Amino acid sequence: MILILAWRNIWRNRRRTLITIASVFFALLFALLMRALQVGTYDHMLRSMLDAYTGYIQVYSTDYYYDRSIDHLFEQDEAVMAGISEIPGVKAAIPRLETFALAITARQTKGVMLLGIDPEREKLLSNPAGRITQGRYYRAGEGGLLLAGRLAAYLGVEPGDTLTLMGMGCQGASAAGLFVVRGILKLPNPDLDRRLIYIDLPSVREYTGCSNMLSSIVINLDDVNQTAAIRDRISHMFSDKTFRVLTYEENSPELIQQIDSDKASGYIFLGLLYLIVGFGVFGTVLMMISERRKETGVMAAIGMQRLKLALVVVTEMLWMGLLGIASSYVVSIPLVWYLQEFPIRFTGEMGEIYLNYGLEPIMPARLDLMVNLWQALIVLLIIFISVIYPVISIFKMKETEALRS
Amino acid sequence: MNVLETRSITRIYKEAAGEIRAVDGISLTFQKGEFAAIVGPSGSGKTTLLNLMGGLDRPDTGSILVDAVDICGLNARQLVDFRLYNIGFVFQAYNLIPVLTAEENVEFIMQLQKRPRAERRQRTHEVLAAVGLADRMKSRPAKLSGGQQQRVAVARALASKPKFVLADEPTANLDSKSAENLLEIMEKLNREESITFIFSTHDPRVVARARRVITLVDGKVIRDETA
Ligand SMILES: Nc1ncnc2c1ncn2[C@@H]1O[C@H](COP(=O)(O)OP(=O)(O)OP(=O)(O)O)[C@@H](O)[C@H]1O
Ligand SMILES: [Mg+2]
Repeated sequence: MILILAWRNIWRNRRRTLITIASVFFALLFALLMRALQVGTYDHMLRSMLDAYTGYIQVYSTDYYYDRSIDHLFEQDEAVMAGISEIPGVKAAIPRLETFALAITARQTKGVMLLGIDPEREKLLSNPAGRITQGRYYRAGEGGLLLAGRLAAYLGVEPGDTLTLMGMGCQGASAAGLFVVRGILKLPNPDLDRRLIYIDLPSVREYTGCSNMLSSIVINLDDVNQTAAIRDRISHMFSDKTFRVLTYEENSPELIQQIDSDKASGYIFLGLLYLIVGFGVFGTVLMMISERRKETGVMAAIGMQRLKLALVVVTEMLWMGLLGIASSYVVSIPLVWYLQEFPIRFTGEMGEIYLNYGLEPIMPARLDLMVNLWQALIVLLIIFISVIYPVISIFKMKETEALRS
Repeated sequence: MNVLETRSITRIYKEAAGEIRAVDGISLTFQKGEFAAIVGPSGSGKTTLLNLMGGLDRPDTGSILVDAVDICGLNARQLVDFRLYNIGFVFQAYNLIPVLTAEENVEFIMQLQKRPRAERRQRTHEVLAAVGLADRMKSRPAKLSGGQQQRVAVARALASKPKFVLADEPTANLDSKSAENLLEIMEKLNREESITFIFSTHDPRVVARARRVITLVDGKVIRDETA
């Protein structure tokens, strides 16, 4: 009975009901699309960054984690590397030896980050081979340097030149060496592009005198959502506390913070949007109950309990809300899915900007049912809030006064 | 036996200009099967008295007994149920729920009473036929004339077999022919099914049909005549 009354009531003022439903529909559609694109974009950026450099999980020696000194390296253990690689969901485990050095040319001296890599395995992560702009990548068994583009420009170095590096070696020794520059590459991250030099592991070990040592193992995964679970599994392999296993979130909290604060501004916008919808819904429900004062008085007089009268109004608003929610989902889910499968592709200037950051120039959407569910719950919450006052006024209504109106 | 008894009930409205004794110490008794009109000039307290007798309002002093039960002792929820099961109401206008058909309006009250569906159906047909609207059952109120709407309201009031029916100026919004017709129906129901009707009116022709006429002035009963 309540359902029927409510359903028929909402169609009494067809136009107002449609406007109310439409306001929920458009707000929710917009919110869902915006969130899907936002989440998709962060995801895209985060993934690009993780794939390009940091990986999803890093393993350090505990000492190195607290003090990034060349004295805190650990020995490369192929059994461990293989063990990690075998964990389901792990795409690759990549050895690295990172150290600080001075790059010296006749013209300039500059502090650089020297990243010792396994030329083959590194292809699975930062893939320097794919970023070469001048010269070439290592050939089998060959060593040498790959310079980031802006650094190379600053130092005035070209492929085929030699570059002197100086720095700290293992066990207090100093390190110095002369290396051939094989190639110049362009790094997505401008900061890294100004200070990174790739070097093959054998060369950097020889240069520092740290034979068979690593500063970290970097791990790439198939699915970012598995990060924590796989971190735990890897942690178990290093139960002796001399190693630290960190996720990208633990390792670069600034980045996560930045994304979060960006998301927060999105939330503020959504908040405003929902506030407007809330007022619209509230206005509708106020008009509804004031128009039906007399009728509500009659129903109360002939013996309908207040709770039931209130339920009719709540049900009406729920009908409208659910129609708005349902219609926005029917439209948005296929749309988001489409934008996920066929992302918006930027061309022209915008595309250039993306490319300069080493990002594929796309704005993918991400179909995330949890995110969607939240939006629907918010709309329902708005509806519940907007009926509080009408419900109270129904409980407070005096039959005699309502009948006189 | 008295179906309804008021014992010196008073209803006072406190206004800025002073108090209005809308109902001022009224004691009345009504027997089953009465057909009583409450008359009096505008503002004499007819509506206020009917509201009190119907449990829509509470007296400031005095008591109201329905079948010897003092309804002033009931709480708000109990009072709603009391009205549902004991009293039929017909108001001046806009009695019906606009989104429900005539049939559904009548059935509505029995749904509130949680009567079984078959019984509801049967009773609905019965009372709509009794008010001469068997052929308009599927019409919504907007499609019915004022007189037809009031007849549906009477049918609804009867549907739940109340102890008595209270009608506040049921004919006030009707043309004289419809008013006649409504009164005839009420009279017939009163005569044939001994339904107790208590109604207020301004209309002399309606008054003429009443068997008992109670006249109010300034919240007091000044005359109470049974023909
Ligand atoms: N809610 C109220 N607040 C204040 N005064 C009221 C209220 N209801 C009625 N009154 C006053 O009480 C008195 C009786 O009113 P009531 O409506 O019972 O008269 P009535 O006989 O039904 O009049 P009418 O024939 O015009 O319908 C009037 O003076 C009226 O102004
Ligand atoms: Mg009146």
